[in-house]
Amino acid sequence: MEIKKDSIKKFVQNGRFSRTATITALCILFFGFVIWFGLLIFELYSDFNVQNKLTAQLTEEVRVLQDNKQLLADVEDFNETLSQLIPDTESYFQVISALEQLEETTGIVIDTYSINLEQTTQEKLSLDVSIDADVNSFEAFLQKYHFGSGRLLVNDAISFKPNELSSTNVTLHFYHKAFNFESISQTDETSDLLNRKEEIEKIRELLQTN
Amino acid sequence: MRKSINLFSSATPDDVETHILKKTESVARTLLIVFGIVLVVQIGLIYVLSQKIADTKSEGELLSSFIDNNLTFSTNLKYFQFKNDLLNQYLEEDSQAWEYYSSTKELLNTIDFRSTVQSFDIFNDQSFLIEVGLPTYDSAITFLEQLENDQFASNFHTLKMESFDTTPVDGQYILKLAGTFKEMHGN
Repeated sequence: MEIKKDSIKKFVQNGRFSRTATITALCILFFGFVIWFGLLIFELYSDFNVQNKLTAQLTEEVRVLQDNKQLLADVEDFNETLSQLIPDTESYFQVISALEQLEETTGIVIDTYSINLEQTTQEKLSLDVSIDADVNSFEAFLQKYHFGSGRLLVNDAISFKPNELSSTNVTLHFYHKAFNFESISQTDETSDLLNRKEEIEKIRELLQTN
Repeated sequence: MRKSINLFSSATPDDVETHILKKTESVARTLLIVFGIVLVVQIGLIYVLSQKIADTKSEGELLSSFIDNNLTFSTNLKYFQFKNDLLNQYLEEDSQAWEYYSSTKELLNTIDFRSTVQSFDIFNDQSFLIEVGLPTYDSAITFLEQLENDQFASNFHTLKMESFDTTPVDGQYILKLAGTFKEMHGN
């Protein structure tokens, strides 16, 4: 024990001791800083990566948005057409008016109609319609009933005799559904929207010619 | 036995402590220089990264504000997609009667131009029941033979004759056909 104390004493009393101790302490301090800055750089780099990914995501979102704006500048007009075909809520006046328009467009005569309760659901009003028509008007009805009334009409099954069309029964479905913002999580790519746009443009042309 | 002594040298041999301290100082000096250089590089890196983060953040804020400013358009676009999806979904349930009826008439005429559709039933799964009328017994038999023609049959997933009444009704021999059409996309 005494020997150890002596050797420490010799170190401390050595003329080089204070300089060596200072340099060593500085070295340890610098090492501490290197570690600290290293951790700081790691943290900043992670943050940079996160920000970069977020910006890339936003850039892509903006690109799609700009393309879509260019493609569908008149989206409100298209929405008007779509909300006419499939309104948010159902109204019997709209249904009656649609049936009248269907008569005008196709030349058929709707004798009677009644609600088909069995097939009617929350978003679908099913009507059993009795039609009086000749061959031409009935064929026009078959061709145009989807959009000829100004509403979307769907018929999932039909039975008719081309030679006896004076009283043909047809079930027509009227649809309505309120817009649910959350149900569309992602905006389409521009190419998909182009197809949709062309589809609605065709329908608009049909509506205009009716 | 020492051959010569340098009388001008003031250096004396180091003791153990001096030797250790010298070595320690030398190593510490080297490390201090290395750490110093590393620290300078690190400070530079921190500066560059901080600048880049700030730039990226401000770019992100700019992009976000563009998206926010176009929220009305985005909502309209979602409405468009929503209603268009519904439109396609509902049209999927349609029987597409006109497409199948007109194509049936054309097909029957390719076999016999005198054939007529007497009744036409179609469902949205493309299954059908059709009554075809022919003016003579012979034409009805020839028509039946032609049904097996590959070109004609290629329009159907299944096709079978339900019945053939050899007694004419209103001057027409009636053939009842049932089956399933191959899918067409008319809408």
